[in-house]
Amino acid sequence: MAEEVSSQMNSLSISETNPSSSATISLVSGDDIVFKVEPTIAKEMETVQSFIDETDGKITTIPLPNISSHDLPYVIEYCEKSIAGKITKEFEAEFVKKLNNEEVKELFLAANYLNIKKLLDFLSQVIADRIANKSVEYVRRYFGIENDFTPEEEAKLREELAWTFTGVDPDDEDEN
Amino acid sequence: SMSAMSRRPRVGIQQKEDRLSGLPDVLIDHILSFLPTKDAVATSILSKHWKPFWRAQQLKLYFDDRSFPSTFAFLQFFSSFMDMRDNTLPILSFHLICQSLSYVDFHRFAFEAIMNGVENLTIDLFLPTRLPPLVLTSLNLLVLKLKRVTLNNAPNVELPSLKVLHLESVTFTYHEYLERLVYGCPILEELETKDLRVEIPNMYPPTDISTISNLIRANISDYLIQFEWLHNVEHLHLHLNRNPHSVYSGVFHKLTYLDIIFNFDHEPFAIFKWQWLGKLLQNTPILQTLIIHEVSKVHVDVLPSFKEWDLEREWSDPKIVPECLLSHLTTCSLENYSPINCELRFAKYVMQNSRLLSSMTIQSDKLLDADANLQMFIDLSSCPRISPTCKLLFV
Repeated sequence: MAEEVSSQMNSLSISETNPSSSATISLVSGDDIVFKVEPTIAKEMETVQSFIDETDGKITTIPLPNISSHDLPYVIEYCEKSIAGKITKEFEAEFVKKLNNEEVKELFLAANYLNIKKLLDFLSQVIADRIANKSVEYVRRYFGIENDFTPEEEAKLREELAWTFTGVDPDDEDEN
Repeated sequence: SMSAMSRRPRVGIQQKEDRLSGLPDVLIDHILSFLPTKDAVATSILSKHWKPFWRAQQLKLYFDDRSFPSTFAFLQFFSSFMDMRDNTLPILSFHLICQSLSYVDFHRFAFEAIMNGVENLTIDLFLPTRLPPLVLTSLNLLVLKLKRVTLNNAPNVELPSLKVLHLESVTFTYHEYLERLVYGCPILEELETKDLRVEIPNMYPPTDISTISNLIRANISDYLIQFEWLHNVEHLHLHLNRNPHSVYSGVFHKLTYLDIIFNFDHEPFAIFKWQWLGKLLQNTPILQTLIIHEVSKVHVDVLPSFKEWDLEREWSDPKIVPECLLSHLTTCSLENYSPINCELRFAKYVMQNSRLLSSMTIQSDKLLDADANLQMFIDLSSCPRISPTCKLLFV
């Protein structure tokens, strides 16, 4: 009975999406995989949209050499939710749960490259949450930063800034 | 789907690390602006490249005493930070979260923020503490969010630039202090209130609604806010856990979006719900979107009988169809819905009378069994809809 109800409900709730008259946009990842998206998705990506505008919409295949086929679906998923007005705290929590540190950083760079402000701000907050109250060594590993201070320089800096290095959390196991 | 996507060989790890350590400066700045101030300062020790960023990154400050081992360490951090920061730069945003803070220290934080021209001030305390009066006479403040502060001395309020005011668990000695606060913000556009408290209840002085006529959005979850103040809002979110004590008889002539949560925790409070809703719809002539979310499982039908109220406590189709249904309502959503008498009659009434309705969305109560769900589906699907384009959606 329950299944019957839900199937009837589903058939009723299928929304009448207008058959899209405008051409889809092809996004080509750095490793040459083509992703076809609706023009509304492209609008969310300022870099892509300005490319389309500059060519008066004649060119609809856009190479994105800096973005891999692994990352692009995440970006597209976020943009789809964004235009549907469905970016909720719950969605964002689920979205980020799927991502390891490396993927968060890659998407962060992708969001910057594509100029998607909402995604960039969201990922900035994710990164900030992941490095907040962590040790200097942890944050260096997180960003892949090479420490170019001499031990003496670092010791002196730590002393000058001792007031900021109180109550730091013990390092977690690195995720990657 | 994502997992089915072929995973081509990715760029070598080494190359990526290089790309990341060379994070563009603008992105380093961006990340720092999302970090608590303590962590932003700590990035200066990462490498020579990162060293100068924190001093330029002063526009948004975020202090949280929970990341310090003691109040002493927290206060010492704040003093050292204020001494070392580039004090030629203004402080645009100041966010303070404190579990324990004396009034003297609270005053110091507030003083530094206000004196440095703060525009966006958020104070989130765990223990109620008196608000330093200087916060309420700032010419620069655009956004003020207060949680667990007390206004217990006659406040002189002058916030000529304030557009957004959020108050949660704020205590006022007299109701009049709340009014002074609201009236002291002549261009206020957004008001959000929750769990406000008045220590000494007294008569409400007469309201002069003309002073807050710029209010556009309101999110109200308590009963100290008078509906008269909201007469100009376009977007209203109400969270009701008991019946509104005053029925506002004026018209919300600009209201287009109304979202109501009914969360009555005591049965008698639900008695006037339908009557109240009926009146409200008469007073919202251009309403386009109506969302009703039922939290409570109290339904008037099952309440013990209160003879003289029996007629009034149920939904009864109004004699005159509300103007908003005739000419504006396009979207109605009923959430956590149970198809018990009044609820069913209300949904049908909306579908039968809303000429422009494009969607009626029913999100049924998860506890509803399959039989009841099917019956509701049949009842509502067979109900005539006056709008030819109206879709009935079950989600």
